[in-house]
Amino acid sequence: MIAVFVLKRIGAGVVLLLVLSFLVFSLLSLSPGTPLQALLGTRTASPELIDSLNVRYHLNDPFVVQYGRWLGDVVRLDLGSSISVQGGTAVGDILGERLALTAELALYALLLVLTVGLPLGMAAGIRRGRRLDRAVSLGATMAISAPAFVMAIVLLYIFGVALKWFPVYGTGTGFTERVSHLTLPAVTLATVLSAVLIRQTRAAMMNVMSQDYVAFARLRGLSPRRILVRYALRNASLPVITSLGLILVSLLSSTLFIEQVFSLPGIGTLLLQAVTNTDVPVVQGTVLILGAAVILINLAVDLLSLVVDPRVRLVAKEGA
Amino acid sequence: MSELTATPPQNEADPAAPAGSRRLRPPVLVWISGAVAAAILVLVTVGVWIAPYDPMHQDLMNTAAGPGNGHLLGTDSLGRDVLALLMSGAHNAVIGPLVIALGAVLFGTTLGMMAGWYGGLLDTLLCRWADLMYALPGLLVVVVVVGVIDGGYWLAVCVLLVLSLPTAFRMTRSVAAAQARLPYVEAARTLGLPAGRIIFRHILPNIMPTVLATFLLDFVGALIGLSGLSFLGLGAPAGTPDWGSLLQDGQSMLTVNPWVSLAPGLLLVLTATSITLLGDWMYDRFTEEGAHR
Amino acid sequence: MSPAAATDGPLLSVRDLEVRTAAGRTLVHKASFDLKAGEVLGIVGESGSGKTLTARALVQALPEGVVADGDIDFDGTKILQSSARDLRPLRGSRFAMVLQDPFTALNPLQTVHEHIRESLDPKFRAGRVTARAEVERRLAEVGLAKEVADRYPFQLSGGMRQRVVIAAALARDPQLLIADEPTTALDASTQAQVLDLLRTLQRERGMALILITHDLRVAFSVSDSIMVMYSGTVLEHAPASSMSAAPRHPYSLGLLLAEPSVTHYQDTLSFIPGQVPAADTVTSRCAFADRCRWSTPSCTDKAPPLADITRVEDAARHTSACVRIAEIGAQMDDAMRSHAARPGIAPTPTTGAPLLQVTDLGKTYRSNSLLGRRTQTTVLKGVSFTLARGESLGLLGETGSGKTTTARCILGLTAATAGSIELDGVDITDYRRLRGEQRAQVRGKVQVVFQDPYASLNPSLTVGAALSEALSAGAGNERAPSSLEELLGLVGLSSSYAVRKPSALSGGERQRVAIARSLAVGPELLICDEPVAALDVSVQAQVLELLRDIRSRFKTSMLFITHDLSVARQMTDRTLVLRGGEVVEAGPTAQLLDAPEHAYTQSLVAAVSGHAPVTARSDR
Repeated sequence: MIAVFVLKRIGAGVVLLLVLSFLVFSLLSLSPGTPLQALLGTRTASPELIDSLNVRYHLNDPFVVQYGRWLGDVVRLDLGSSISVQGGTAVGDILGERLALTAELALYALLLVLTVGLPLGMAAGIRRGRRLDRAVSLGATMAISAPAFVMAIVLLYIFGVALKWFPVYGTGTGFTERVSHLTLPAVTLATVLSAVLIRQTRAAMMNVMSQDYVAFARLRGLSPRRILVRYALRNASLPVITSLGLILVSLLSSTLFIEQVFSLPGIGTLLLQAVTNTDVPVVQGTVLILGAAVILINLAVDLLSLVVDPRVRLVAKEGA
Repeated sequence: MSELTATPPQNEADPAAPAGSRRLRPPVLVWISGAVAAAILVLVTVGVWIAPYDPMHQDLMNTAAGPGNGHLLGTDSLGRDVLALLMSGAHNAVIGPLVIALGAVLFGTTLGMMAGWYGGLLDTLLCRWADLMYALPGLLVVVVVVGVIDGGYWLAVCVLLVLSLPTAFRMTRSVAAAQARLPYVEAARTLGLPAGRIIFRHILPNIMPTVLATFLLDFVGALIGLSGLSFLGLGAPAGTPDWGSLLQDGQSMLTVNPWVSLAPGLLLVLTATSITLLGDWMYDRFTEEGAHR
Repeated sequence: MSPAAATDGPLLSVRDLEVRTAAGRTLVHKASFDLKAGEVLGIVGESGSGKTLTARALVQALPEGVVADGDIDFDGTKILQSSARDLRPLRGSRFAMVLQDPFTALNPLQTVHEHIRESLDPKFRAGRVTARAEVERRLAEVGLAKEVADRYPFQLSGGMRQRVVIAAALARDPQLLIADEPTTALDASTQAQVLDLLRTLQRERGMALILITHDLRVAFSVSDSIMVMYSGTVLEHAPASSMSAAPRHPYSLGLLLAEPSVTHYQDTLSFIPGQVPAADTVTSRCAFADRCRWSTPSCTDKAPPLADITRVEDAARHTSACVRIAEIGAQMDDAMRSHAARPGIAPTPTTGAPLLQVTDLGKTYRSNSLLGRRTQTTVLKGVSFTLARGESLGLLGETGSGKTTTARCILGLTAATAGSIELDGVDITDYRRLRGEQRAQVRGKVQVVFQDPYASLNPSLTVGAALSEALSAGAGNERAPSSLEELLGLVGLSSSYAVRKPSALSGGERQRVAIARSLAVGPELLICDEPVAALDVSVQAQVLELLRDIRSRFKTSMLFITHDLSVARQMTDRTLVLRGGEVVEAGPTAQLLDAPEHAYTQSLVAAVSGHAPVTARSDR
């Protein structure tokens, strides 16, 4: 049953990606700067050069034909090659390289969220109304209101420029150097994510703790530990899981800004470069990857809520 | 958990219920937030007139200087006074978000009330549309659209407005639908009052707090989004004072005059935090869902 | 009543219990009582009486922001002076509490097995097999099959959930169980079963039981003694038999008389005028004085003490807080006697031409599940009936019987999926098909009063604004009242109410305003959807009397939707019994309730506590 559900969702996702790629393609044709200008760069626009470029990149074909050709190549797993961002390099290769860096950054941040952010939030939830809770809540409100790029610059200034603890830009080579280069960006990303999670968990906890079933659990003399874990945290996690998809997706935007501030060649900066240079194959490839990420994240979150909530699980079983 | 909650016909009043959840946000903070918001509004309207210098005046003998020498926050790479740039930049930073939040609330609330009131196919379609929009990484979409078309500030405002619609739509839809099912609305229907009158006289006043809170939260989202675009060089036109572009300019001067970047950044955080606190407080204090949070 | 009742010394002793808000507002004032082991105490009161707060104070479970003061001695433990940490080992093992709403009392993410297992004594909890066997034994004890153990709460009915709650509360065999309105959220037939279960468990275990309820009948059916609370104070504490035969406080008497009879029609429904005052305002006087017909200045001089008035016929100690009880006792006995001796004669209905004709009404909801599978729920099937002009027809049924859906179809708030509805010759099956002018006419003919007085009025409009709006909607109808004053007068409210907002009104007053709004267009048919179900007993009768008055004055036809047999008895000429969306029995109300034919109707009638067992008509 679950398999049917997953297959259906993946099918719908592929259709969505098709629509998305077509929309982006149409959008690109509205762009004021033509790819030709980008290709020419500073060279003199001799008619021969223009002709050869037009032929090479099929720039004279009608819009739909161009899209059809691109789509046909994608089906054969060929995303074309970059026009202006990294002239001539296969888009697949560029994406692979950039994606790897962004994934490293995301993993690092996730590690920080799990080891620092969430425990802090839980501690605040448990010691509700005390000083720690107030401090964490206000911090979370500020962190949520602070744009990622502001937070990145502030951290960059304090720990990179003023204290000189961490490098200011670049990616570094070798494991230790890479970690030290990615620390500030990862901390920024982790703060943004933790802030959202803490606020949501806290609100959910307050709601759950006022429920009858918690009162009844106390009246039966269950241990505070059990009430906290089996009653409060489990129930509070439901609304958080439901919104986890939105949170993770919005995180993709934060990544763009953070990569930009720290000059990291990740997938976000790639998108920005491709878009400002009207590099059609790269824009298409990046959008496709990001779109797929969004669809997979949402699917994973739905599956997670299926695992956690018996109501959804049993309804799903009866339904399919 | 709403599907599990039955309304017991006899319920002894619980005198402590409303107080508990509201103590945590000290009103002092709300007052400060209000004051900050008011100050920002002043800057938006008259900032350019009360600025200590002409923000566009370049003093090429005195570039990227730290605070001092008559410049409270120093100067930028072209020798312009940072404080003056900040004060006059408030206009660009805030006007767009105001338009976005107003538009989103106006259209979103109207659509939300229609969906909540009529239900049926219209409701289903609008909800599916909102779900789809919601699932998009909004800022990335704006970057792609604005970057590709190269459309500038007002295009960015339009795209952000469209992207903010689902939030306003969803919030008003759920409260409007809840109100529409209440007996007092059904009694109004039974009296044969026209739909428009029921929606505007009966439902709207009762969901107003939610609408206002949505407005404030939308505003914060737009403020961050739009200044972010400027930071990427896609928002405010080059040459006009703007917090986001100032922030970006200043990044290369962090070692000589960090205030070029830090000051607009902190101002953004301060504005966004204040408005968020105001919105949260309003939501907790005046709406039913908030009261039960 | 119970075998273990004869031990020495009380199990629980409460002296001068005060419950206040953190700000110092009094909610319960000087409550004192004792409870012996194995005894059943019923605490009876309307909303705002402080009965729930009293019960919660007993186990230190008051809501945040409320504090208790005084002496509570539970078998040697000073409850109020103990820390939460000290009390925890006693919870579940020495005393336990069952909450009102079984729909919210269980963790939605845990199976029944997990609920009961976690509540067991550690020695049963440990081993997998031992625990399983013990859980199944506990389930059997509350009448549930062992398969229930693997279900989640959302898969169970309300009655089953309450049984699980009881099993979990009793899992460590406490000596005292406090049950706070344990049956209020349940249907009548389930209510009787759960009460039976509680009574059986209490007797088998020799456990003390405190039952909090607003329903005197429920209290009588279970308790050894009954304590009546009002506005935060205890007014009378008596053996159940004495209370039902000869109450010794005017308020207890008023409550008893205000309960509409289920066995016979009453010409006049007696009620207590006025409304419950805030507990804080009556700490130094008799709380009931303002509504008492025997009140004298001596009643309001100082707070009357709870005095011992035990007489020979009392099975146990009997106390009353009425200072004049010696003078007025005889008059109260008279009132009881004349009430019992006066079964009124139901007026013969003046049946006119048919006003409303419902034929084969059906309603099916379709919904898409998460995975895109369609599901259908049929809530109404083949419902047909006719309502004559001037008639009052009852729709009797439990939750999910389709009675409210029927009303909503007639009102055009939802569209039927089968059958037809005709009102005064106009086909109103689908309001959307009516022409504008026709629709306006129909709207003027049928109006509604809903159950919930709190949601029935727009909180942002004053009474005057809401009623004026309704009056303008009914302008042109000659049956409609002509002015706001006249309209308010019809429902017994002075014109000063026009400027008030709903938040400043009591439940009964709100319901009066809601009735006024429906009368504003001069309707010929008034649909009353459980109009008194959310009101206190003393106010219920006021509203029922008002509706009777309207019916006799305007010859308004009524469709009376209720789950309450006594309301059907008092308010309707004919009754339809609905179950699962279908009509199972119909007939003149008196006949239907005296000699029900269908097994379901019989079970409904039998479920009403205190009602004589009924026999089917064929047995007579």
